[in-house]
Amino acid sequence: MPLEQSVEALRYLGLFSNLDASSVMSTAVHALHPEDRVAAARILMREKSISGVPIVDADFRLVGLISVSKIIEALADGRLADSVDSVMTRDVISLHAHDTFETILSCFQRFKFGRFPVVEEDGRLVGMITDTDVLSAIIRSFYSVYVHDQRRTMTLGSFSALSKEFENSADFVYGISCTGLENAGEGSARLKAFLQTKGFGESVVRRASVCAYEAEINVCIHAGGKGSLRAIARNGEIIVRVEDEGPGIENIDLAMKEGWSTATDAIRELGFGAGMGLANIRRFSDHLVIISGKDKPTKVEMIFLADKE
Amino acid sequence: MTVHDVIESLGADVAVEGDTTRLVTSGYACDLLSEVIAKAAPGSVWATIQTHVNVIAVAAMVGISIVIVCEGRTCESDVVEHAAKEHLTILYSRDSAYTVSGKLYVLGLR
Amino acid sequence: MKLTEVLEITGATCVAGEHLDTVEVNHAFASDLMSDVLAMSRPDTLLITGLTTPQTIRTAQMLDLPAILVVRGKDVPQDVADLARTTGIVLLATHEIMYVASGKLYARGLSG
Repeated sequence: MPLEQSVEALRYLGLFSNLDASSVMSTAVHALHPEDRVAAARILMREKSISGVPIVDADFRLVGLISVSKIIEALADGRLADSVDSVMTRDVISLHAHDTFETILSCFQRFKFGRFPVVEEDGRLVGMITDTDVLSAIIRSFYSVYVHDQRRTMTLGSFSALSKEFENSADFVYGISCTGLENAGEGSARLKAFLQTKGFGESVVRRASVCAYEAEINVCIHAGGKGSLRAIARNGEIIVRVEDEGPGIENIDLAMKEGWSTATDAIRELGFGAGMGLANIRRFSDHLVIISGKDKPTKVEMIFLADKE
Repeated sequence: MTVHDVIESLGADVAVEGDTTRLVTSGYACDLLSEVIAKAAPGSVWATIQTHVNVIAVAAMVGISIVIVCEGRTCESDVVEHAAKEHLTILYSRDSAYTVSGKLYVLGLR
Repeated sequence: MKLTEVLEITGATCVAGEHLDTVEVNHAFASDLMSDVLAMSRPDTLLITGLTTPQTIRTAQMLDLPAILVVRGKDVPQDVADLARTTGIVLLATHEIMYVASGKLYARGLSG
C-alpha cells in the first residue's frame, strides 16, 4: 500500500488517534548553539549515532538544523572550524508538540527527511522524531489494545492482526461446551495447569488464566457456551485465543467500557455481567486483539509477556 | 450514628446528599440486588461496587440510608439524579467493600 | 492471619480443606461479583463472598487465592465443596453477613 493510502486508512480508522507528536518524540535530544563549530556537530553525530543536530538559541528556541550532508559539504570545503551558523539549514520543517499522528506521517511523506524537530508554541525545542520513533510509537500502541471489526476489514482487506501460529498448531486446545455457567472455567483451569508445566512464572500464569477465564465466561454468557480456547506458550510469551460462533459484539467500543454489559439480571445474580470482563482482560494482557461484529463470531487474542514482570 | 456522622468519619466523597439527620442502624455489604432486597435491614449503610440504576430502586425499596459505592467507582449522572429524587445519600469511596465495612464496624456500627 | 483465627473470629465452619493452622492470609477482599475479584491481583488474600457457585472456586483458583469464606449462611453445594477440595482451596462458611464478617476480621487486624 503506498504511504499516501496508508495515511488515508489511518485517518479513516482513527487508529493511533491518541498519539500526538509529544507522545511519539524522543526527548533525549542533543542540540548545539549557532556559535558552536561545525566540528562539534560532526563529533556529536558520530558519538550519538544521529543524522542531524538541531541548533537552538540561548532560550532553546529552534533556529536551524545541521544534517550529515551539510557536514560532508563543510568537510569538502575545509570549513570544519567555521561556526554552525554559517552552514546550517535555517528554514527547518518542524512539528508542533500537539500535531496529530497523521500530520507526522504526512511530514515524512512530503519532505523525505529522516528527522523532524518538535517545538512548543513559543518555538522552544522539546524533542525530535525519527522514523524509528514513529515505529516505536506504533508498536507501543499495539501493545495496549487493538479492536478490529467489520469497518476495519473493509479498509484493511485481509490484513490480519491475529497470530498466524494458530493456523498450524496450538500447544493447548480446549473445546468450550457449556450450558449455563456451571462448567465455565474448566478450560481455563486446564490451561492454567498446562502453563504451570511450561515453566512460566506464577504471575504471568495468573494473568493469562484470569483473562482466559473471563473470555471463557463471556462465551458462556453471550455465545451459547460453544467455542474454543487455544494457547501457544513459547519463547517467553503466552498467546491465548478464545473464539466463539457468535452472535458477536455489536459495539466493541461500548463493550470495552468498564461497567457496560448486555448480560441479564439472572447472570448478574450469578456474580457476572457487571461489565468488567473485557476491562479485566485489557488490564491484565500485554497485547489484545478483539475481532467481532454484529452476527459475527468473536475472536479474542491475548498475549502475555513473561519478562514484563 | 446518623448519615451525617458516617459522611464525617469515613471521609468519602459525597455524590448526592439526602436526609443527613437520618439514623443509620446497621451495615450491609453485598453486590447481589436480590440479596439486598431479601436481607438488608431498613436504615442500613449499603456498601457495594454496583453502580447500576437498579441499585437506587433497591435501596429505596429496602429503605437503605446510605449507598457507598466502593473501589473508586462512580455512578452515571442519571443514577445520581434518581437518588436525589429518592432523597438517598450516595458516597464514593476508594476503599474496597471489605475496608469500608471494617472502618464502619470499628466506628461502632454493628 | 491464620485460617484458624478466621474461623474463630467469624464463627465459621470448615467445609473443605485441612491443616488450617498452616494456611495464612494477609489481606481480605469481599465481593459477590467474580469479575470484581478477578480485577484484584494479590494472591495472599481471603475471599469473602456470598456466591456459592463453582465459579467462586474457579475464580480463587485462577488468582491462586488460598481460601474462601462463604457468608450469609449459604449452603455450599456438594459439587462446589468437591471442586474446592480437588483444587486445594480451603472453603469456610459462616452465618454472619458479609458486613459483619468483614468488620470483625478488619477489627482484628486483617487489612483490605
